[in-house]
Amino acid sequence: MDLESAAAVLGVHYQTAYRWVRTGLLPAVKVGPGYELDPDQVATVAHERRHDRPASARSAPDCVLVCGDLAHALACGDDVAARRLVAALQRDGTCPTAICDLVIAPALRRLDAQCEVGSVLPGEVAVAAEICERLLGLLASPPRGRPRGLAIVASPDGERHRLPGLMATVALRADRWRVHHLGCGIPAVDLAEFAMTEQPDLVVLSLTAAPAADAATVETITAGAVPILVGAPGLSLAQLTADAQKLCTSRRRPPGGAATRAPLSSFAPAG
Amino acid sequence: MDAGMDSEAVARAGQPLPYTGRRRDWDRLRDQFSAALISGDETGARRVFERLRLARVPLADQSEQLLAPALRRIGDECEVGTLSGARLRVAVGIAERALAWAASCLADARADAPRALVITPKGDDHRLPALMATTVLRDGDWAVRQIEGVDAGEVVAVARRFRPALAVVSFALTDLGDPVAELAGRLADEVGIPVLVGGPGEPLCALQEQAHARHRAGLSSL
Repeated sequence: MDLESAAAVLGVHYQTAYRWVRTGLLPAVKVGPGYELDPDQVATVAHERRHDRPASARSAPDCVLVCGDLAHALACGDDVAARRLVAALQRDGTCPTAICDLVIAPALRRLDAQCEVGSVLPGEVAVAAEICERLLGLLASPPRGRPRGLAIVASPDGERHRLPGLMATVALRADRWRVHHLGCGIPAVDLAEFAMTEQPDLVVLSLTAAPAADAATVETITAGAVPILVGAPGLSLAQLTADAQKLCTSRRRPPGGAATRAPLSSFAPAG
Repeated sequence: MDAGMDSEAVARAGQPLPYTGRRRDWDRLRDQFSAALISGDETGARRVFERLRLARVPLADQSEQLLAPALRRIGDECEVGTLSGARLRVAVGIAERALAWAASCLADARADAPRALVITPKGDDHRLPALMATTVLRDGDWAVRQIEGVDAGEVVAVARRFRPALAVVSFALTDLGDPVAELAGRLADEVGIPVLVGGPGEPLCALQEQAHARHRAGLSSL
């Protein structure tokens, strides 16, 4: 992500983030005239600032190791071992977003790959998905203190994969959003009516198979009053929270005025 | 896990609260819980579970006296139109996560604990009944695996590898009679394990007793 996005995630002015990069507090790589930052490292720094913990984020190689252990535990249906691995990461200060992005999602992808070659049964993948759903439920703690805003997370009709939407909820709550999680298979009309009632700051649609047309339907029904982010497989949750923050910030920018109409946007190419 | 509801802190709660002779006001707790579910107050819903857990109320009682009636009430309101389908989904999601949190506070199953496989038949999207059955069995020292959304053949394949002492088929849709019977039959015939079938309205309180009775019967027949 760029420096402006990182500043939004961190909740600081762009110049502050630039000073942190120059002083080495915020890891970044100079690319042309600007800087490129790793969304996960930015998320970790944001987490440390909120909780005043020393830098203890798991490095990418550590997460690969834990991911391997988790994939093994899931393949064996060992929910106790899986829960202990995730709890250890939390105690180490790894933020829930990074746990989802770097450990749980890759572990599930490994399991899918193993299932394709026949070393894991489809039923065992289903057991693993159940375990992950419970783990994500534990990670999806409601935020403390003043929330950043209200978000609705849903997967439209026809979408049967629950875990991506639940991971989005985990990431948003870790970023201090209040989230109404509607799960899978909600008709676009019901979602739009709920959004009109609740007046959220953001709607996140999690899609893996359902057509992106539903996002356009919701946007039409809500008349663009609610910003909508559309997700797709393999996308970073850190990017989701950065985009969510940007949308929230841009809506609130005109002092005393109406919320800015945000165009349909996505943290991935939809469809 | 939220530090305020750390399962380790709950487990360190120590001795059960002394019995004061005051009966638990389940009606009041159900009202509080329902209100939290309807308003989307996940913190409030978990607090109700936390109080009951600290008071060492068995999870079977929490499910039967609190969770199931609250959700039936919300479901009834949704049917008559006083509550939207979206609100119902929010409430069900909160209830699932609160139950998962309560289950995470249980001690881990012993290495020699009897195994159970809890199954939601394909075609049934309701997770809570199976989640409640799983939690109740875990509270009774069973090592439980839960599976849903797969064909009967795949369930049988998993059961052959997992080798449970018992299978529990939990379903909420009344028109799933034939697929459930087929699944139960295949598990009994092809895997040779006792199968308990629980449908809408079946009490959870009897599940632990029936599970242990079937397990003992299976052991004594060896």
